[in-house]
Amino acid sequence: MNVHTPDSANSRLDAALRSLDAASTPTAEQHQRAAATLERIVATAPAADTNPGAAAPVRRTRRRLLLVPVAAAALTAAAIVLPTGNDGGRAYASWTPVPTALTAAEIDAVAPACRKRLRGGSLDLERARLVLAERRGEHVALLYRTDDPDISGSCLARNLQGDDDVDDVDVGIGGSTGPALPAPARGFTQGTIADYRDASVTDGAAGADVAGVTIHAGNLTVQASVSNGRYVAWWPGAALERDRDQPSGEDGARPIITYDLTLTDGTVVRDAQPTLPS
Amino acid sequence: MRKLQPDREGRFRALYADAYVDVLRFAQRRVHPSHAEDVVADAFLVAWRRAEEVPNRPDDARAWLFGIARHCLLNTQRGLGRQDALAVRIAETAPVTPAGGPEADAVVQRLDLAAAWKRLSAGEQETLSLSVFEDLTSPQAARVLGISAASYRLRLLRARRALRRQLDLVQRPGSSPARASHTSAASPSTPQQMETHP
Repeated sequence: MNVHTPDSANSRLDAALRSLDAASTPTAEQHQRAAATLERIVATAPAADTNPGAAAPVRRTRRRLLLVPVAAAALTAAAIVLPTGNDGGRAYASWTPVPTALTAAEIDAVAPACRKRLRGGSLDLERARLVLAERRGEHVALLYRTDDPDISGSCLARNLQGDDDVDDVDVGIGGSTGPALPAPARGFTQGTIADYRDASVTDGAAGADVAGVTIHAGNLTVQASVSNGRYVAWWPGAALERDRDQPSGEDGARPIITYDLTLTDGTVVRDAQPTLPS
Repeated sequence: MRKLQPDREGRFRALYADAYVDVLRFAQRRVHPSHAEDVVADAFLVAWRRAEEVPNRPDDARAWLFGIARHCLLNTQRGLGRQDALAVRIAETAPVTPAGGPEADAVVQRLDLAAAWKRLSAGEQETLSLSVFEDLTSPQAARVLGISAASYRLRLLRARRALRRQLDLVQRPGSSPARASHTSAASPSTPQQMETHP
């Protein structure tokens, strides 16, 4: 409470202002979402080692990247190993475990560079839709998809917030020749996993009752962006085991990531297993 | 497996339960309602990572959380051009057809006050809001803004004067935008770009 004693005129003015308060009482739905948010937050690593905005900007060296078309029928989980960067995780020091949505203006700034790099792969860019776009610090991730065939093209690029410059664009394409399989309501389908050695990107289908997807990758805990039945996330670290580099695809390196799902009723499913095609 | 830290997690859960609604209302006053919950989630995530710094007294912890939420909002809005203060929205006021009587007078006064509020600077709105809407003491409000309590008291004094001055201006015959027909919410810098979700 205020310790100062406003005079009566101030009190009247304050009371009149309070009648114009824009804040409202939370609805039951908001309380429900708040409970789910709390579970997502406490599922992340509590270490204060990723203070947003505190990191000095570090430019990554450019490197050649591969587009990896995956053409095997009924192959949904595509593991992709991409060439090694030589600057470790320093470039991603501004990375945040929780993403923020990209604005329309930010998407407009980043999308042309991503589409340019995605061109020529097995993703049909004429039909592909942008299904998710997120920011984690200085880096943004865009996910383009066609559902039939089930192909995802992920794009990771450096773009300072409020700036139109886009550089260090990395892309990966993966999926199958068949149509996308719907995820069970309280489950998920693991899609493409792209491992750039110093960063990894993964996406997949989230069931109708899934409000949040949390990914554990080594010491990192990552909250994925979830929207319209899809999830996407990236993090500054590995996604695949290190002792089997090649080949890409179903017979390649195995994922080292685990998943927690937060359902819309607040239930948290630890170490949830993805639904795989039979 | 994730390491559980029950004491830290338990304290954080208690803080969340205690302060969530107030932080949500803080955000609702400063961004479009569709974005307020995202802001609160961001703020509590930062608080989770800085849980050792949470002040012991509940009122101080609330002010500390407001400071974090404000910082998150300023960081986002800098995309639109650097700002050092957050504008504060007030409620939509419905159009009225004054038919005389005390009730109509009260409505007109509300419209005038809303119009006067819109004429304040973001800094003046923010200063007033921390005292009037967030109900903080001067030291707590000062902490949210990162200034001394004495500086906050001075700003509050000036902001009240500015509001009265603007109220006098809108209440002069023929000069009141509020009397035209309708006053909309004062949200001069509501970040519209944040309404786009992936």
